[in-house]
Amino acid sequence: MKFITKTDLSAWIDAQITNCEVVAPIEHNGHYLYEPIQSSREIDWSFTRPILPVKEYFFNPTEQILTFTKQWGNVTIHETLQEDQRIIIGVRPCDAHGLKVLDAMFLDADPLDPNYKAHRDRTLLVGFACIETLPTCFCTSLGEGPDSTDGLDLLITPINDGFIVEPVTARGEGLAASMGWVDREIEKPAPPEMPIIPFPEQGAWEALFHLPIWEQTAERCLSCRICAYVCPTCRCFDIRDELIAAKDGKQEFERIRVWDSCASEAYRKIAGGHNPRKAKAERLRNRFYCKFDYFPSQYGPLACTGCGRCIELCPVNIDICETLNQLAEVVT
Amino acid sequence: MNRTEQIQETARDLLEREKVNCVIGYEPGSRGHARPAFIYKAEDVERLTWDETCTHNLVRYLLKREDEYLAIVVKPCDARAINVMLAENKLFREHIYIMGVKCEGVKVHGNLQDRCQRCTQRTPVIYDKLIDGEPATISYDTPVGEIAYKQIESLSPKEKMEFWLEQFDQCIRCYACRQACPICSCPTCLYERDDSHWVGIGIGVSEKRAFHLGRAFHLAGRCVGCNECQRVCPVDLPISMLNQKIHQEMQNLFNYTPGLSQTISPLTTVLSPEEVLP
Ligand code: SF4
Ligand code: SF4
Ligand code: SF4
Ligand code: SF4
Repeated sequence: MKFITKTDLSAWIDAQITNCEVVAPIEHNGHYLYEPIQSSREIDWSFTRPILPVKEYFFNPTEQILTFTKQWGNVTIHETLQEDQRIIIGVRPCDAHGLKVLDAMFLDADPLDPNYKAHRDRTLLVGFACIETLPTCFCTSLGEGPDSTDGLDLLITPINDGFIVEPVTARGEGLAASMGWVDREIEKPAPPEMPIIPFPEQGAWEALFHLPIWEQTAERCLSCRICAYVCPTCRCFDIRDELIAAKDGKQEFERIRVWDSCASEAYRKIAGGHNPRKAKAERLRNRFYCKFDYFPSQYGPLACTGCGRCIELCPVNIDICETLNQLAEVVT
Repeated sequence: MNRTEQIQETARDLLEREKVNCVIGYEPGSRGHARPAFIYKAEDVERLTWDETCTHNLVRYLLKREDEYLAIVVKPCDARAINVMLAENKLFREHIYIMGVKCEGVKVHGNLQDRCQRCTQRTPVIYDKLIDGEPATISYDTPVGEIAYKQIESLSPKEKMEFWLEQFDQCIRCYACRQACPICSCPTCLYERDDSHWVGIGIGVSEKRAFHLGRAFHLAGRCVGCNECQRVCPVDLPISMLNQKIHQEMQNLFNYTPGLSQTISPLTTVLSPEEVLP
């Protein structure tokens, strides 16, 4: 196995920082976030799952899709795609899984999303296997695990005195080539275990649509947007043209795409004011159906990776595992 | 009887006599922290609980249900929010039955909340039934939040601006702070981004700054200091410090504490009938 010491890995990271943007987990207000770093010293190596998934670097909270200027009826459009290379270090396997889910919609289905693709192409993913799990983690129930390599370019597994380096893709091989690793006889540590959460099969959901559980669970929902924004697979967005500057009859606009959430009250409101998902229960139900029925039937994969963020961060304890357990009981 | 039993008994009595159609209280959550519970039938009252994890301000759930008769479990800080909402005619006193709990503070992840470290009340200012207990007398070191607050106060205006812009930068504009707030009760929030004419839709620093500073001003003399906004924030931004700052100013100028009685904030403009557009 390829083995690298912390000193050598840090030196490699610092060398990368001189070439391109490097994003890694750092501590902020007592939790972790993926942020651009200037030095490997900023990384907290004992980081747990960051509050926001790496999704924010591919499907940005606010993405400028294009800019356009308007003058005396003439419109000129400029597409704004980013190309600079970037490396994200410390990607958790559940987040890499989340990107595979997003790929199914943004890349594999028509139409291809050029902004998402540009970010995917320009970003290398260096994963970190989880040697510990949080009480809310349940990724093994959704088909991946704390040591999964799926979706990553390279996986790093922390061990006692350093790290095991495992390239996954050709791009990952390229990264590993410049790391100062040595060959060493080591056993990969067994991944930590976690509870298995049952959930209804895709075909079973239709029968669950009118259960009272939706109303009962949603009654305490605040209709905030936390659960969608922190989810590695939630991908709803809204698009708006906003004025940036106006001068001498020339107006400059930007078209931006921003995160949206099905939990918010106006999410489904349509012209004329009708709202087909006016009730909180209808919106919460949509969240579950989207993840376990609608998305998989349209694009393939289930739209949950078991990262547990929505459980940890929901202010009123709406717990996806609890609800899935209850639903599975109804089905069997 | 302990407080859980008193709450259950009161709830059972109210539901059996059909005095209310729903009791809003707390039940044990799935991960060791209590959560809001809505009880409609007397046989369900055993779900209700009281413990030190009953952090939520349930007054939020009274709003937009004016036609119903509701009972609610409140802590002293929550009770002040009821007073503010009553003064603003957003609740009807005769429609709500208040179970006021004597409280010695609530905890998140085992930590006594900042608001509780500052609290001097322990007994709700308004209730129909006092849920009695013996709030332990706890002595505290200077609360952590107080230290952080003083630290920000000591900064220069430029440094303050830098500090807050850095905080707002981390905000994800999830609106959880507003959604959990018992006072943010406007039919359409000025800073709502969907269909907005006033703020941009972007999750950018300028939109977030407008929202946070605007919200703090809208809550001047109305914020009861329950700190729900800060508790629910997924990225743990110290936003309640903004409200605390305005509260300090209100104290200095008007010696006014929101929610102690049913009075409108000295900063709230009340239009006389002839000033209102037909
Ligand atoms: S656990 Fe929650 S946040 Fe994580 S992927 Fe599933 S739905 Fe999304
Ligand atoms: S995080 Fe919780 S309260 Fe907020 S919208 Fe999601 S389920 Fe509702
Ligand atoms: S921020 Fe202001 S406008 Fe928005 S709900 Fe609160 S008080 Fe109303
Ligand atoms: S809860 Fe926190 S992240 Fe969400 S809008 Fe409020 S300050 Fe921003």
